[in-house]
Amino acid sequence: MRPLLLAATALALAAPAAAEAQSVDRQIADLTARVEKLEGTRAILKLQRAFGYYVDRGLWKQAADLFADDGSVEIGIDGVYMGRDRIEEYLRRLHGGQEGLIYGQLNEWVTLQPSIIVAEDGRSGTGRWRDVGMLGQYKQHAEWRDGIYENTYEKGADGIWRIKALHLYVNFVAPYERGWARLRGEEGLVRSQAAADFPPDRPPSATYAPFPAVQVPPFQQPNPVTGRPVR
Amino acid sequence: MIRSLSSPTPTPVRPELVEGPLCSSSATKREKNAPSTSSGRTVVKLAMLLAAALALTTPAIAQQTVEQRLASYRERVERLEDQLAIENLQADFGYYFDKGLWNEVAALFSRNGSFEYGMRGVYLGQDRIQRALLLFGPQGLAPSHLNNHMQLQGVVIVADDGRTATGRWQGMVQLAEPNANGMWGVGIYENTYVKEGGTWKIASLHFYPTALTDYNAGFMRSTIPMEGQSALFPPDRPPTEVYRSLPGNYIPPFSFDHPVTGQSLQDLPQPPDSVLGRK
Repeated sequence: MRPLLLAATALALAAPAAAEAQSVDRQIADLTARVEKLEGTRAILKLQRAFGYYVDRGLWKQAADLFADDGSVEIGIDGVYMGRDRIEEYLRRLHGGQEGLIYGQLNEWVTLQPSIIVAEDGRSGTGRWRDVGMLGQYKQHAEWRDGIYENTYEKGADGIWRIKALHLYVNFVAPYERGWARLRGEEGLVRSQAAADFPPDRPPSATYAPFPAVQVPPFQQPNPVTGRPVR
Repeated sequence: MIRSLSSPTPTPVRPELVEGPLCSSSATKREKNAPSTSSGRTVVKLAMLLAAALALTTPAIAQQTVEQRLASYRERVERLEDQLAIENLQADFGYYFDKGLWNEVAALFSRNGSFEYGMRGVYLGQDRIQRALLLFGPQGLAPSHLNNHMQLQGVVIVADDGRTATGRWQGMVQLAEPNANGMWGVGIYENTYVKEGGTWKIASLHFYPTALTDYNAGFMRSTIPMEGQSALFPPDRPPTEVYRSLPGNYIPPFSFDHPVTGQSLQDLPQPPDSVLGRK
């Protein structure tokens, strides 16, 4: 009789405790998901900044290794390059074909103003960034580049974040001498020699209208206050 | 405010300290009722086990502690989410402003939000802000115009209660108009934010241009004064602070306290200005 009573008491005590524990588990799971989203955001910031730092110094392999297996790169009107090997070779050719930079080559891909959204499931993300390019060759030429990145990112089965698609909408590449304000017609955006010699896997995915025309690179993310798409 | 920089929760619940005495006291209690046949060590072990069981089955005291811990962590996670949301908000402001998407810009402000740009004065409320933005150009950027306003180097401080925040930003500016030289500019944003219905909005945006120059001449040969108040669409209030951009050296007051010393940098002595009679 006594053991039975004890067991019953224990059960009665355990039932609400189980419910409480479940609630605690739920809360911890919820918090874990939120922290993982925050960590995902930090991982994306690091990824994109690393891409800039690597390309700056001609580390083509390291830059390409930031991409997913089916990752892609699209810059200006050069078209879309698919996969790490093609991305690496495209980046190399875009900068003269050699490893690293050559003497006097200015190549700053300054990557700023991130707006990053990680999906609810914490496995993918989108990012808009501002590109300020300082490009040139000592004693020969120097340019400003203005652009907007609209990129996507994904977290692999191994838990590592990678760039899924990098898309740089180039607004202009302008001679330093007189600056962007004196650009005419389409001269602010030309197809690279690299794209001519080493054609892309796919043609450009968008139509481009460089400065002095006006183009608003489409926003992947909605207005953060209205929640509506930006057109 | 400074406290929020060094530790996100000003009065963190310290579960280690709360649980410690709690466990030992219940263990002590149990030890008295434990069978006297066992050795001392077994008694202690048993007591600890029982205490652990107790902790699980007495929601009133022990569970409250777990709830408190969770609530404390949730607060800290939420402050991080708040900061991120504000960083996105300010970046998006810049992206919309660049392209003359004035409807999208105005929608980022709270109902009583305010917008102030240099010496143009203060505009209040979304509708007035949206119209005032037309002073910068038509809805949708006009051809041959460049209106790049970068949003960089943010220092965002979210209040401990997570309802308001401040942000200071570096704002490099690239401008162009048809048939004219380009312009370089730079300035400081000092903004406040408010969380309404779970969404962060801009409560006040104040851009202090600190230098503007003709691209071809450069900063040391050309300093372009700020635009004044519009006669066409006058502001609701005059500028909150009157100053000169380069060659003046005005210091926009800091919303955030010094992160190490805690010193406020709100009320700094400003450099001399003969026009303003400031020595």
